[in-house]
This record gives sequence, structure tokens and C-alpha cells, in this order.
Amino acid sequence: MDIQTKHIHLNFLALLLLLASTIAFSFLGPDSLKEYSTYGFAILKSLLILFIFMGIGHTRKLSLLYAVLALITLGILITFVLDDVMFRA
Amino acid sequence: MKKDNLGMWLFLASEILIFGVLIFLFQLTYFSNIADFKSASHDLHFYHGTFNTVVLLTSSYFVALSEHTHRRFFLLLAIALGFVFLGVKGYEYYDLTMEGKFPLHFLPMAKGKILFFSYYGFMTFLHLIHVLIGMSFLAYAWYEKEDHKLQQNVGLYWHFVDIVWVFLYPLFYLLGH
Repeated sequence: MDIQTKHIHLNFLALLLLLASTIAFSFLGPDSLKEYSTYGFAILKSLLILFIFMGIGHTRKLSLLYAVLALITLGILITFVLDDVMFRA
Repeated sequence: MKKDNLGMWLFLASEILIFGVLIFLFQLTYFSNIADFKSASHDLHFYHGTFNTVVLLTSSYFVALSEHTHRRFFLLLAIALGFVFLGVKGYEYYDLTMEGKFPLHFLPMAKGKILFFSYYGFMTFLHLIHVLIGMSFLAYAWYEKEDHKLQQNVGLYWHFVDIVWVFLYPLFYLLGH
């Protein structure tokens, strides 16, 4: 399996992860951020489709950028979900 | 970006303008009818929208694999998923029609809700037509097995249809949660 095919597989997994995050955020996230977050996730998903599936930015630097963006998003999501769970408790 | 795909990219840019304007108008209307829009969004079938999102993302994945591995079998899988998308959408339209919310608003509803369902009907139906066109292109690309440029261009179009849905999904299905 070449590196580009691996990227396509990983990108698909990332898209599913982002979709799950979008749903979790829209149900559990703080009201003031819900709308912005769902758009944020939609933009992130579009970037992944645009750069990996449509293949316009298949470079290592960009891949690193997506990874950082995905990690930041995931971090924010976990923070808000934890905050929500603790607040409810 | 390659020269071979320039025409397709220009076409996609014009499509972005159409959907971009519609999404912008939806947002403008939303800000003056927030409560009605959220309530109407809650009336939509969340599971149908989510399932269709997974279906379209998976079909895009198959198209990307087909482009890269040059195996046409993946195109057939993508077309099959397109049919699944159409089936679920058709069932959702039928369900909403039976409930009297769409497309002719049989039930008395708040003005904001009518606006929401009008946007929902127009934008999702426009997207549905794009899915149908995309499926026809995919079938043609599958038939023309030696034409890799055609496959690339069709792939671009199909990924664009996917991106549009990625924006429509939170706009309509997640707004009320």
C-alpha cells in the first residue's frame, strides 16, 4: 500500500471521527458555541475532503497542519464535554 | 491543480456561489427566526440526516480509492451508495409530507417554521439533483474505463457534492439540538 492510499484510508477515519465530534458537540457543547462549532467542524471536514480526496494539497507540511487542526478540535471537544459532564454532576 | 481539471474547478466555483448565497440567506433568515428554526430543525429526522452523511462520506472515500488505485469496482460501490442516499432522502420527504410539513405545509405553522421548511425543501432538493447528476457521471466514468482525466473530473464533482452536504447537514439537522 503506498503512502497516498494510506492517507485516503486515514482521511476517511478522520472524517468519521469529525462527524462523531460534530454530533457530540451539538448535543453536549455549550449553547453559545454550538452553532460556531458545527460550522467549524464542517469547514474542517471540507478541508480534509478538499486536500486529501480532491488531492490539491498532498504535501507533508499540509498533512501536519491538518493533524494539528484535528488535535486542537479534539482537545476543545474533550474540554467542553468534560466540562458539561462535571457541571451536570 | 492540473490544466486538465481547470474547467471543472471553474464550474465548481460557480456552484459554490449558488450554494454559498443560499447558505448566507438561510443564516440571515435564521437570525430573525431563531426559535422557530430550532423548533423546525427538531422536527426533522436526525438519524436520516446522519445516516446519509455517513453514506456520502463513504461514497467519496470509494471514489478517491477508485481514482488512486484505478479500480473501477469502487465506482460501482459509490453509485450504489448514491442510490442508498436517494432512497433515504425519498423516504424522509415522504414522511415529512405525510406529517403535513413539507412541501406544501398542510398544517398551520409559525411563519419561521414555514421559512425553514421552504429552505430545507429547496436546498436539499437542489442537492439531490446534484447527486443524481453525479451518479450519472460516475456511471459514465465507469463505462469509459480508459479515460482517467474523465474519472478525475467526475471525482472532483462527486467530492464537491459531498462537501455541500457536509454544510447542509448541521444547517438543517443539528440546529435544534
